[in-house]
Amino acid sequence: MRVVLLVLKFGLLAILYFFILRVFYFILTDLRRVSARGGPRPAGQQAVCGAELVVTESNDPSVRPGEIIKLGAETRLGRGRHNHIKLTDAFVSHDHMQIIFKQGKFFLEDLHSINGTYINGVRVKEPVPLSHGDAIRIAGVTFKFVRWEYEVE
Amino acid sequence: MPSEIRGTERSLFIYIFLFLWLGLFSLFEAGIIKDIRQPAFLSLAVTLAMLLTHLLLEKWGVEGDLLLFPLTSMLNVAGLLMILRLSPEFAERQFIWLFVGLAAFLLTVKGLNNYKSLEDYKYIYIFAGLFLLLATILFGVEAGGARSWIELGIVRFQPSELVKIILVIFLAGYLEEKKEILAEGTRNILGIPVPSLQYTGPLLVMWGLSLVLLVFQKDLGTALIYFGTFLAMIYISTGRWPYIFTGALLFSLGGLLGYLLFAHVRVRVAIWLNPWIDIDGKGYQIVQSLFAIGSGGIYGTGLGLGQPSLIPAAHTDFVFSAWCEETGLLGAAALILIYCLVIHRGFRIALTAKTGFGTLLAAGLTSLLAIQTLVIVGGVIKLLPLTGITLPFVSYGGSSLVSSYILLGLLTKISAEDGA
Repeated sequence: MRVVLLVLKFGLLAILYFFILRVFYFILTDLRRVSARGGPRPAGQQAVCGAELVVTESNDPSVRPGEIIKLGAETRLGRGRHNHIKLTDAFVSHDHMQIIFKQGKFFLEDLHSINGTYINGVRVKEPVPLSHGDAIRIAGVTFKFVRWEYEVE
Repeated sequence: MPSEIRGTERSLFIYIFLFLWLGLFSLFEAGIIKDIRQPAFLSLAVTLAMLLTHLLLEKWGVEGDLLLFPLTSMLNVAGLLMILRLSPEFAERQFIWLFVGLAAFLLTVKGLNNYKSLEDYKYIYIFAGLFLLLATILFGVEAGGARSWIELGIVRFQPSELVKIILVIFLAGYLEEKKEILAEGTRNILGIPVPSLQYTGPLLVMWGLSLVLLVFQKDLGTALIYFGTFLAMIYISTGRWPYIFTGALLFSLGGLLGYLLFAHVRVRVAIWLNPWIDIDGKGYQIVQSLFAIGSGGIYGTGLGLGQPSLIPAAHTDFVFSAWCEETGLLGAAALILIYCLVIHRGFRIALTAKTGFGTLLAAGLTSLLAIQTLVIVGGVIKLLPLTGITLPFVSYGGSSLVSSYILLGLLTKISAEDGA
């Protein structure tokens, strides 16, 4: 009888700790996944990747020419409230486009917007790596893509 | 199962069910449970209810946090075993409250279309909350030195438990709206930005009113939680230390005033400083709690083999001491680790939330849970003066359990909408 209780006592403690270890394991894999993506921080909070968009032309009241928007690991633009860059123009789609940092480069991807995204006057069809000085036009707003290492020179 | 979005959760539930059934077996072997049929039936119902909750979340495609629900379920199962062991007559009710809690959890996750819409009606909530508190003062019944219960036929509930969550929702909405003004201020006094009265006014009124109400209810623990959560949220939204200093100063003043005005506060502090003077009288509870924790040792006496029923109110406020006695230092550390993990997940949800309101809401709810745990665990181990509040998810108490599950539902909802 006592043996059974002793086994149960340590068995219960063991279950508790196995449970906690398992949770730790899941948390670690979760953290690795997040850090592999370069962190879940939105643009503007922390510029880890060293690039920004400069507004050069705008007929949209929500962004003014000269405004600088830092790019994070993932920056989305559109009319929806959840976007990092919110435009109000009716020609802008709800989820218009996104810029993602991958393998040391920034890729611009058009999210099947109605009126399209143009890089140096060419409509974007598939994800395009951006280079310094590219002009990105969405409806009546034009951005210039600036990488920092070029700017400090 | 064709889709496997919550597979992690299911793999963790195996441990929880194993713990529940082995614990039940241990209680039976120790001779605590004479008739195994009813507890076994209730445990079966809990197993099925938790499994059903998990399967419903899976079916609805809720992509929220996968670890929070198992973690709190483990806490809840540990609590159920302790209550079953300490006072079987309360256990049945606690099991029923657990089903209500799970239903409330599912309702929060499914019924709430978009958590951001909570922001729009914040003033309605806060008035409802204040009305509830006022009703408690006018029509409430007293139990255990605090007048914080409303009697509705056979059911008694504690509105302040629900008001806690309402307060966090209100503060999240209000601070999100006004945070620039609160952070920058409109004037400067000694280099500290001071917002003008029209912006701080509502906050001060809120704070004062909740404290006054709680003083009338003589519920000091809850007042401490309200105020701690309030300070944590204002710091998270503005990032300004002066608010914390001023708040701590105000609270110390309030504490001093309470000490001078109320005899029961003086008694609490005296017991905290030295309970050994009056072992058989006022210090009895805390001394018994310390004896129980001490006699547990490192491994504990084993579930059902200690004497935690010597502690008064062991199934509510002192459930942690009873747990310490029967599972020892290792069990106590495991419980605190689980709380830490819950808090970690909560703040992680706050970091990944896409709106300022979501961040503040998740951080506020997590702070609420953290402060409550700290105050009661600190209280029973004589680190802080003892205040009668429940240990979230573990203690006996219907309103506490249900509101904890609503809190869990809100956190899951925020993580489900904003993803990670």
